[in-house]
Amino acid sequence: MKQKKDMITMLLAGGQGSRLYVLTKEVAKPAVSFGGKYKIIDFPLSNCINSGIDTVGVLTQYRPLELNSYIGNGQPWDLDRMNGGVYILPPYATDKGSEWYKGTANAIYQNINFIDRYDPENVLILSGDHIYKMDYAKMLAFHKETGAAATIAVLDVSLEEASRFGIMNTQEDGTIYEFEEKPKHPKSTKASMGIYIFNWKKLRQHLIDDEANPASSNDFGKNIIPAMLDAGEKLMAYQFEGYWKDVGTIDSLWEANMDLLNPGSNLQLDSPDWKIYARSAAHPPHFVGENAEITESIISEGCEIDGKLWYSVLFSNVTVEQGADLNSAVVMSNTVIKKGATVKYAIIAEDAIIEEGAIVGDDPCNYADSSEWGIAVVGRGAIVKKGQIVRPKEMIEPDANR
Amino acid sequence: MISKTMCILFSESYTATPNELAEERTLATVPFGGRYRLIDFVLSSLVAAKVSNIGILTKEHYGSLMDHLGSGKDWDLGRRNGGLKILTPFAKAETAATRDRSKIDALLSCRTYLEENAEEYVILADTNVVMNIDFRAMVEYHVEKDADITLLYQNRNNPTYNGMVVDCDRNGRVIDAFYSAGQTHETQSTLLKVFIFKKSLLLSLLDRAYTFGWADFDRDFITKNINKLNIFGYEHTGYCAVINTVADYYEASMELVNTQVRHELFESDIPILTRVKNSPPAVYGFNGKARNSLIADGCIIDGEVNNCIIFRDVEVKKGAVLNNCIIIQGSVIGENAQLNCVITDKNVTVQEGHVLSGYPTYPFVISKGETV
Repeated sequence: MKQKKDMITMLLAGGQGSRLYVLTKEVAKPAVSFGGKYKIIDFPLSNCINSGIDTVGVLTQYRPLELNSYIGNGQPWDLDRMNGGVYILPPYATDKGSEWYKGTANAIYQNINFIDRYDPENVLILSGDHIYKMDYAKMLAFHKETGAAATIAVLDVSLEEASRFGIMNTQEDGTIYEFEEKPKHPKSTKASMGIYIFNWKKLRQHLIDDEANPASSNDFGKNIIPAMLDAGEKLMAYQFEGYWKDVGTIDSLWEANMDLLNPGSNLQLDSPDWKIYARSAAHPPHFVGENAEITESIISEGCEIDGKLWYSVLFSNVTVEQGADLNSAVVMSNTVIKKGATVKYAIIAEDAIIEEGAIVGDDPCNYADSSEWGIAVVGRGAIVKKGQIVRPKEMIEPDANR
Repeated sequence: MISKTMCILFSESYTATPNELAEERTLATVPFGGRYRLIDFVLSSLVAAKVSNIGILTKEHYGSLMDHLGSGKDWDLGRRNGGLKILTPFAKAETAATRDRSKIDALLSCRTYLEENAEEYVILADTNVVMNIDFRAMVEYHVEKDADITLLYQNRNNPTYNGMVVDCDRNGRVIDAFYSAGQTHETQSTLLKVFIFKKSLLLSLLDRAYTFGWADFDRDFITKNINKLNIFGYEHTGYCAVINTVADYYEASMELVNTQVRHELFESDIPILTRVKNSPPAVYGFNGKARNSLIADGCIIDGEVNNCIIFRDVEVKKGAVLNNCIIIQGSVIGENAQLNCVITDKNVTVQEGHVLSGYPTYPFVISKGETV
């Protein structure tokens, strides 16, 4: 018999994140590395435990291996619990056949049994593709206070940006009267952050109804929210203020990493009252050699630096040899940047080798036409050979040898 | 054979007086190398050799040891069977007052622990030894030689050493074992305080020790038995630092900026495991400069750091200049402070503009939590 929970979390982590291209060829988007030692999923998981939520179902589908082994028993997030804790929930087979998760709502539908075991009052639905710190307990208090059937976290965006988001049109008190997915002419700037609290009884019924509708694409934004509005349920918008970034594209992932170096960005990983936890191994401290020059950079344990670093983020065990020059680079674990190589405005994934004198990416100042410029990306385990050039915007496939 | 081997570690050295860094903690938990504690090295070697039944004998102020080790899971020693066991001092009315108990007394207090475990061999090791060692090979050597006791030694020329040295014959059998008075400039086979015993033999030696009131482990267990028992020496040829004094500590710490030493310690087949904490990566500010230094996660470097070991969560503020220093966890070095050959223990604050200096052979140590 499971103990009744006030609220549990369902974390949608099955997406490919196809706009991250080579970075998500081999891992799901929530397992993409971020900020020197984290993965994207560390943010929602840490937010949960910091908000007092001790039961999290993680729904996986696309390339789950890395995610499964990373989450493990949940111990780094204090989610290894006797009652509750973290569960990986992949799609499964039944006597009626087997199905993939067809959409976000269908993924929850298929796990109704899991949620019912905890008999929660409310369910928090999250996605594993955003970088932000948020106290879900405050959102829950708002949800209870307003007596809403569903509460959706929203963020004020600029009017120009609004047509890229799902927009909530609300009355003055925050009651949602209309939801528009990527509107051409937005009426409001309240963008949905993909964070929902639902009254479980009500959501459960809507999921069952939605599943029975063959025309539905089984998606929260497209189907469940509009259906609830049609049914006259009370939906509230919960205003969030603070740092939040969808890291679904190469540019936004790079920007979010750079934001860590910008004190004005409001994204701090070291605040003692809201720690972000990660699974980490025991590497020795990073070593800085005789010839190193390091300015405004983030460096993780296990690195050996003897080159020049300017505004860069280095994950664990990265080697930067003498004479190598890094500027605004994000370099993931175990990568080696050899003598005299140059890496500028680029993301280099794990286990890559940039050989002597190779050049990856370039400074946007050198491009009069900004459409020719973009972040260069080198996939996992790829080798960029001696003297080769990887142009801005170019992407090198995982394990490529060029 | 290794599965038939258990281990007892000593959290104190019993012979040397504790140095300033071990005043409020065990010698085993003196912070070392930017994020480790001394015990991590021998413990990691044991784990790599799959010795998974390890008892740690404590003497006093072992709170830091319990904090550090926790359930042992960071060393993969949080086991249902075996794993890590902290053996707390056993105070009976008649022994309660004897604070300066010997190593033999300590072993007598854990006799039951030795007896109730089925392993045939037992490794006894001090924890203040910074090295990687292949315990599997050492145990195999012990079995192959049919030894009663195997002791680990290293040929060193160390004039300040005043521990036990041994002479071995061509087969490796120990033919002499005596205390070196120090000040000799010859290479000597110095003990690294790591022994393998047949457990039944250790128990019978403990009986004798109890009967005759023996108190000196090296002299009474080794030297007295040279002719009676098969005692073999096993040479350690890799890097090794034994840390007793602050000078030992400073010298060994500073050796870590030598890439060869660092790679031998940290990039061998034996990963050095330690308690995993959750600090974000280190951040360098606009004015940060570092050269030839080891810097741990959680640091904020906005000053200048040369030839230093900087532990976790240290802040070096703008304009501060640190040369040849060891700055332990959580310390803050204020703006424009200048430090040379200084060791700050945990959570020390050096206020802005202060100039402090020690000397390489006599570093200036600032105790835990102090504000200068």
